[in-house]
Amino acid sequence: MPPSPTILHLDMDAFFAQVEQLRDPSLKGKPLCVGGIPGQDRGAVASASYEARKYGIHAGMALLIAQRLCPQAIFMRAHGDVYLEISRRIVNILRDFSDQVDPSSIDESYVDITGVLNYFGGAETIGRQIKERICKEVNLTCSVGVAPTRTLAKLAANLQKPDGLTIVSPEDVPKVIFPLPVEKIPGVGAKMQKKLNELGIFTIQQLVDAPNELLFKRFGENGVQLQKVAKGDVDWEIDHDHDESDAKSMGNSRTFSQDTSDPELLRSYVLSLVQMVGRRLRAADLVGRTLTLTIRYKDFSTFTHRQTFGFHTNDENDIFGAAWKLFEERYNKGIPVRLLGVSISHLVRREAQQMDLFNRETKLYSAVDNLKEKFGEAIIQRSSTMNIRTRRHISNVNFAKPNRKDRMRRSG
Amino acid sequence: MKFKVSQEPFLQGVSRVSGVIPTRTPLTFLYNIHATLSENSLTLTASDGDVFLITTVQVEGLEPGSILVPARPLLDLLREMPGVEIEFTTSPEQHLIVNTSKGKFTIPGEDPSRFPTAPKDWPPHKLAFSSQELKNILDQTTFAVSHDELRPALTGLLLQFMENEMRAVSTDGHRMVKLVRTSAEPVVAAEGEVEVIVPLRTLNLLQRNLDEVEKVDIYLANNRVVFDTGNLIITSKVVEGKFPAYDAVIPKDNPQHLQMDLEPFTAAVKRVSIFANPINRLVVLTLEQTSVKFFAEDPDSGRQGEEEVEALYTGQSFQIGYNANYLLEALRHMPGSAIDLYLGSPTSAGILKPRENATGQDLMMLLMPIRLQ
Repeated sequence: MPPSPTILHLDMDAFFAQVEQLRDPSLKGKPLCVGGIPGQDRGAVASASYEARKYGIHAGMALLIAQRLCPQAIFMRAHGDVYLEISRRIVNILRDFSDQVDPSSIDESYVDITGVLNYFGGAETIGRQIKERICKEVNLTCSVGVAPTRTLAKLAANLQKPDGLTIVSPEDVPKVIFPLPVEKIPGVGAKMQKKLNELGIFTIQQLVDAPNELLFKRFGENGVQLQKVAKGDVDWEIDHDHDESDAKSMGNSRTFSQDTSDPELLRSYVLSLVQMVGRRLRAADLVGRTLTLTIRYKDFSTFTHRQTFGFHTNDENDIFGAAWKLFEERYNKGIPVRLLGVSISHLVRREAQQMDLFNRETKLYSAVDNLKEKFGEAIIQRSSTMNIRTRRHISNVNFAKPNRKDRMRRSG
Repeated sequence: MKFKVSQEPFLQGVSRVSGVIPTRTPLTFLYNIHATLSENSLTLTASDGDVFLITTVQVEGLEPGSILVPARPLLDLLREMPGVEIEFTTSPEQHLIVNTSKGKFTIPGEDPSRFPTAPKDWPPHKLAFSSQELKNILDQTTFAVSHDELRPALTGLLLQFMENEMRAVSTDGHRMVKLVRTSAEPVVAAEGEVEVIVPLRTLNLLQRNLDEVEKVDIYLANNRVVFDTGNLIITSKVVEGKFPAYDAVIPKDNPQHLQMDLEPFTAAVKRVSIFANPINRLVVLTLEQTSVKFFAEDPDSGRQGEEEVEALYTGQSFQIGYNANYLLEALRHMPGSAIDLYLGSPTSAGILKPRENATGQDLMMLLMPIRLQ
């Protein structure tokens, strides 16, 4: 029998804020918010130091609200290129431990350590060594979780923060994981939590024990899958043709409450995902070169398709043009789709970018972004995405919250 | 086919057309030169499928005919026999036999009918240029033509002919050159305006030939352009697609004005740019009343460069960043010894003009900045 998988999840603690505190030690120990455009009170917090979190500030919060919660906090713009460089070094450290490193965002990675457990002397040793090396070489703290699946590893890492190390062996899963509230499962958002609570499911134990039919009746395939994920039997679908070299990406994905093969609707979904990604890229002042489109069909089969631009961009027209072309070329027509994802990788800082004479939309985008940051996603939309809201097609069992850190994949 | 010719004119003719031959192509017949002899005129044609180069060499014709022969061995051989009288014959199996007083060389050819034929008719609109005039136009504009195949309309030079005006416009989206030449006499015949986007490759082929000739006739149609230099005919497809509305992106109000001598300005940018970030090549200009300061740094290596140059500046003090390569290329193609730079804001296009234009000419270059933090 092959050894059961052992997955390590690494999550940098308040990554951007920690890096800024490193760059300017006088910021250490102070409430610090990185992101948005301070001074003009525009945008949202991309990363808040633990000192700032004590005041209730969290990533994704509008600057104005954060300022109200903690007037003495220090606000600063993000330095995307610095974070990218440090992220690259962290991934290189991880690669010294396993060749199966899957960076899921700028500050999170999954490492499959199944095959190297004996070599390094066990999960705990690997976890500790990784933390030590990151501390020594980039001077940052991180939280590490080890568990039999990616989802549980991420959950484990979340249990002790900051600077934690949590090992959950397969035998420990019922003891450590099951008593936790159900919303601790990565992928269960506020609305899903509410629905589960309505069924009397408050803990993971209750989810695991829930009758299969009940979950199916209420949530369809997705509910059954969620139960399996909670048990640690399976992961959310992961595509393995993921190129590890393009570690840095920003993406959004959406699972639909009803699978759909309606081309008009799918087009609207692609467009709305592109808009979210475009906005997040602009908020972080980044431009990227490679587009990845993820299509998950009704039967959970998942395909990713890639397209590389000849230039760096965060322009929604560029991204949507390529994304829709890819979709039209690759989509198996007529087969219902349950999830779509759009992400952009090979990111660089936008300031480094040469401006374009014919790009007339730059100003328009920043105006739209400001509106959305102030009043929410629905305040202004392209007419072609209007049907999304009116048909009430999107469930909230997804990670696609605007301005949250990158969580393109269901598992991550 | 049979003819006699001395090495020099024949080598010149073959060289003149072979520039268009692609280095790698699946259409292997394009590696050939097509030769047709009619009386004492030998017509040589080479092509890449889109552009045809045609020239005529005077020979002593002995027997008319055609052949398709690979250019490479023919050129190599001709270069190695200076001043020699040569006799060319074709054999029934379509070999080209090269005979000199001492040697005999055989180059297997191909069926001449395999070669595509160049369009024969001449487009309706005719314009005449002196070769020097055309050379100047091309020198000042083609450097800004885009190489990005994703924006095909920008991969050529826009030539617009209005009644008393000719415009040449090139852009790659980051910079733009607009050259306007006005003349007292009508430029085109009364039937109206003509415009074409000429592929950069065609213009490069033309440029190589301009030093040899006095004048160039241009024949235009909507889908085709023909350049006739007297000793070479270039017939080319034009770039399809719509050239962007270039006038719309030219800032109307750029109130800040910098006046500079070209030479010290260029020299300073060159020196400072050595220290620029190799990726974005950013050079920051700080404009003050009597001077302009250039600054560049490469954070990875810690290298920094800074230099101040005297200049006359009217406007508020501010900073703007440019890609040093774009700036230097624009400066290199500026005529005269002094320039004017008109600026709006750090994120809008700057307009670069020569202090003095040639008569009837108005040259302007647009440069988009690099966004500063």
